[in-house]
Amino acid sequence: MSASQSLFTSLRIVLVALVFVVPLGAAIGFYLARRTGPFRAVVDALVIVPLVLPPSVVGYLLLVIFGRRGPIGALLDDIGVRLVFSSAGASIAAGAVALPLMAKGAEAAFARVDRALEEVATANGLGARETFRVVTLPLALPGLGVATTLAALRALGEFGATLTFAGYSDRTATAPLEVYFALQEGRDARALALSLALVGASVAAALLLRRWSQR
Amino acid sequence: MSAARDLVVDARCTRGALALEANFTAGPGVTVLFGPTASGKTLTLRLVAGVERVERGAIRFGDATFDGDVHGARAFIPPRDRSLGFAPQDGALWPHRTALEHLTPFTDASRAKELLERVGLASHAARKPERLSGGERQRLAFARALSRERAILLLDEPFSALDDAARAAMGAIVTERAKSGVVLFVTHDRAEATRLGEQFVLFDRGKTITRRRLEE
Repeated sequence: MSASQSLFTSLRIVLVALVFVVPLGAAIGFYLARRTGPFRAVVDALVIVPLVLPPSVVGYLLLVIFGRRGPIGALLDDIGVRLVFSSAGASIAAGAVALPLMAKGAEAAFARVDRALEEVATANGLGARETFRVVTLPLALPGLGVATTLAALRALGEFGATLTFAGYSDRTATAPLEVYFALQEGRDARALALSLALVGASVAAALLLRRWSQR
Repeated sequence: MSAARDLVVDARCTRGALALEANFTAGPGVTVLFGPTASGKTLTLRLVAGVERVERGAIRFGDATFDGDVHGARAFIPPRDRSLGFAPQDGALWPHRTALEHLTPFTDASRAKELLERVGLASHAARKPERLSGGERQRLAFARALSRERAILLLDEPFSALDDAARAAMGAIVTERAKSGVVLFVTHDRAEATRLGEQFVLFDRGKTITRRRLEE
């Protein structure tokens, strides 16, 4: 497998991960920004767990849940879906470690929206959904962009959970995995090329972040 | 006075050092809320708007209880269902939307343009708040509060940054609207209060007194 192929594999896995990480993380962030009480505290604590756990543990826990003998994995196996060694499995691993960044970033984005700007919408007759569409979402959008970028970078750089849960195969050979195995096999030039590509992607994303945060 | 269109405020609410005990009835027409800073005028407006909750007592409009006790049960009608127009003190304009876009969520584009023209902002329809002066911002917040035909209009020092001519012009619109509904108008300006008010609620450290005239 060529070096550029592993970059495409990474990109595909990250994009698929973002499809569920962005809406789910934004929803959790909105909940965290707007609610108080004991249940919120529990959600708040749970959501950062994948961020602080060693990625190998996250991968192992995913294996317990989504593996062929796991509660969800067994159901999926019945309908012929196997996540281990699949690209979908790699997306789940990348998404699991990226979700906390999306959720906490979205929480900050929604918390920064001035409540008075929403109050004036509802007091003038807009419903909750309209108020969200007209006021809340557009004002939170730059912050959601920042959160999405950070989540995407975290997903792109994911190594430990992917290796533990999805394994190293043609379909799951992401750029970070390739760097590791290239080094193991003594192909240093390949490791260097991929590393430089990842550095480039990170710098590009950092520049994108600057643009968003300056708006 | 037809009780069906009366706004009855009998509400207690504590916010920081302010212990509000607002007690007044406002029928159709302009009711001016008058008094020093931090005496409870803005909090009263926010209670009627439904963006703050009454602690004891109730706020009623006709047969509907906006907030408070009805036969021992707690009632609360959400702000959007109270038929309100609300212009808060600092305007609370939306930084990401143009002047015209402040009105289009509430009414169609042609009426929105008409309204902007009425408040003298026709040439600024495409401007965002950051490119409006203090007076223009106030007129935009006022126009937004007018953008639907509402039973109750809540205006919190809506014209404090306007010159006398603009104040008189905007005041005429308030008077016209007051023929068909309740207007609660907060102001510090005695001349404006006297010109617009048909009834006065005087605020002093959270307590209210109702008068037919501003001078005792």
